[in-house]
Amino acid sequence: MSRDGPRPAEPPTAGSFADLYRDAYGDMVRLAYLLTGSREVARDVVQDAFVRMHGAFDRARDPHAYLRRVVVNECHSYHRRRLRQRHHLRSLRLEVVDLNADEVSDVLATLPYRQRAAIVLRYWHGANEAEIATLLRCRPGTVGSLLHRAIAELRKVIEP
Amino acid sequence: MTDFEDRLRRALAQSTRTVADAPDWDDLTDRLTKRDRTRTRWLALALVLALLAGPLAGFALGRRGAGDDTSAVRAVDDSVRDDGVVVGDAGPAPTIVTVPQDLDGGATRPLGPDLGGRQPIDVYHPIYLSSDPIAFLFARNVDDLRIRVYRAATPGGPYGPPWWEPPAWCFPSGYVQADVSTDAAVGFGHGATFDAVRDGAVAAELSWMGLAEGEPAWIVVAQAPAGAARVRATFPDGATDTMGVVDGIAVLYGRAPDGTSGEDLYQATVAVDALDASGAVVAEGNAAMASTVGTPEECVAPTDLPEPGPEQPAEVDAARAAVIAAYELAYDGSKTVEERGAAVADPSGWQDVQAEIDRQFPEQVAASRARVTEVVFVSATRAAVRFDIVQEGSLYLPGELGEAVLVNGRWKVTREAMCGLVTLAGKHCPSVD
Repeated sequence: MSRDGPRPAEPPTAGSFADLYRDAYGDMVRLAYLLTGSREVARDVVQDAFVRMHGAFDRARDPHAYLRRVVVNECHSYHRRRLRQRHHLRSLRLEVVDLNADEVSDVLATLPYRQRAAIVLRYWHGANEAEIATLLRCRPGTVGSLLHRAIAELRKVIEP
Repeated sequence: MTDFEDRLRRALAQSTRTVADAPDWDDLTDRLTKRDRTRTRWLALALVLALLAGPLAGFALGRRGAGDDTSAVRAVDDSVRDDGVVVGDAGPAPTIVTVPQDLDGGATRPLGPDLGGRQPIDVYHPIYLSSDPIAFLFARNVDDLRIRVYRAATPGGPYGPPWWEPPAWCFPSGYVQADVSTDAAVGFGHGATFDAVRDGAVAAELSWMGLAEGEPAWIVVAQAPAGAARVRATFPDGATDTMGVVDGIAVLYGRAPDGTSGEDLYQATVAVDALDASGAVVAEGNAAMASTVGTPEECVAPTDLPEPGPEQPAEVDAARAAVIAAYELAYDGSKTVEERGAAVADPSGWQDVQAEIDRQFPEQVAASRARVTEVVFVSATRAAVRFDIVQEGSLYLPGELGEAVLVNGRWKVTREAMCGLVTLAGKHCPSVD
């Protein structure tokens, strides 16, 4: 699997919590940013994820994978809370746009969370379908469906 | 990888290059300290409840005397139900509640009026930090396990176009919190509740506790459908816990095997069944960490306007202009609430709420205007409307959906449409009887 993006560091095998925090923080914030569209929320989500991680660090078999899962789920929680509190904006209806770094956040915001997460994990994080399935707690076949539908939606608003 | 996928990949990578945060150790330390303080608070709370709840409840119930023989669930006596459930009294006064709102400062607020006429204090749940009052629902005592369950209504309703009627199980109408303690650990579970659960389903959410104390456990907060008598949770190791529902709610506890990791606790899925009085399964569900549950299609608000109806206004263009004018006036923040109310079909209730928002967000409201982008007449007297809220020319809320109706020859914005939007400010119109 190849990617241009900043592939997160491999999980530290015998590092400390501080090592994990130092090594993984930036990538987790970037992941959370792509999943929430907000830098502030991303920082908040990731800090809270590390707080949660702190209590479980010694018991986690793969702290990095566990942390990533917590971040993905916390971002989902953020979306659900916005929905629950009625503070969310309805999906943006974009005109056809060129796909660039400035637009991609708005484009992602048009997708349901699981589709958005599948896209980010696949094309930014470089995860395969099995890894995405684990993170999203669904079957690998469902990941294929999520990606297919997300790509189809994105093609509607992105210039060919 | 297709060219499209490659462009997507590059755009994602580029978009995060400006997100270059350094770890913030101070903030993390603050949060860890706060977490530990919160844990201490809840430990203190559990101790307070453990020490006070029984005597206070007994005292309160005792005051109501022996004449109350309506049912076993009225009494506070651990022997009342075989499963150790003690159901809260439905009287006007809180009997157990009471968490000081500021344990940090050592504030000690008095307990409820049953204890000398002092003021009751609401319990605030620790997760969503809502200001909704929360009331005691039941307690459950089994061996060294002590569960105190509280419930709050969460007013609101679906956020979506006025004509949308999502299933009742889409949007929570309440919140349940279970404070759980054993001899070794303290924690809490929580879950949303609904006006109705989906046919054949149990609404359940999973929490964990006891990891730091070396006594890991899961807590399931479940809402069973009407007619269910009990709820049973089957935990990953095959252990089960069952309790009779109280007003449709059950809280189940499952001790995880020693050495269970935080990751395993987090990833667990617990099977939850609702049983009728004969023990037959009447509904099924799963409890996992709430954040892993996706939004069902039925619960996603429509974003399209309905099709035009067969009956159209006699003068469509004039009617459209009148609808637009009504929306522009109703959302013109430079006008008073009374002036805006003239464009609302039934401003009762909405005006008070709007006035509160005006006071709270004077600059934002004053700068707000509506820009109608589409009007569809679903009948000769009713229209569906798509509009944007702009503030000083900038798009603030794009693509809102509303309705207009013809009242005594004048097109006006419906009360439901106005009330729908105020929910974005965290407000709710009073219901109309």
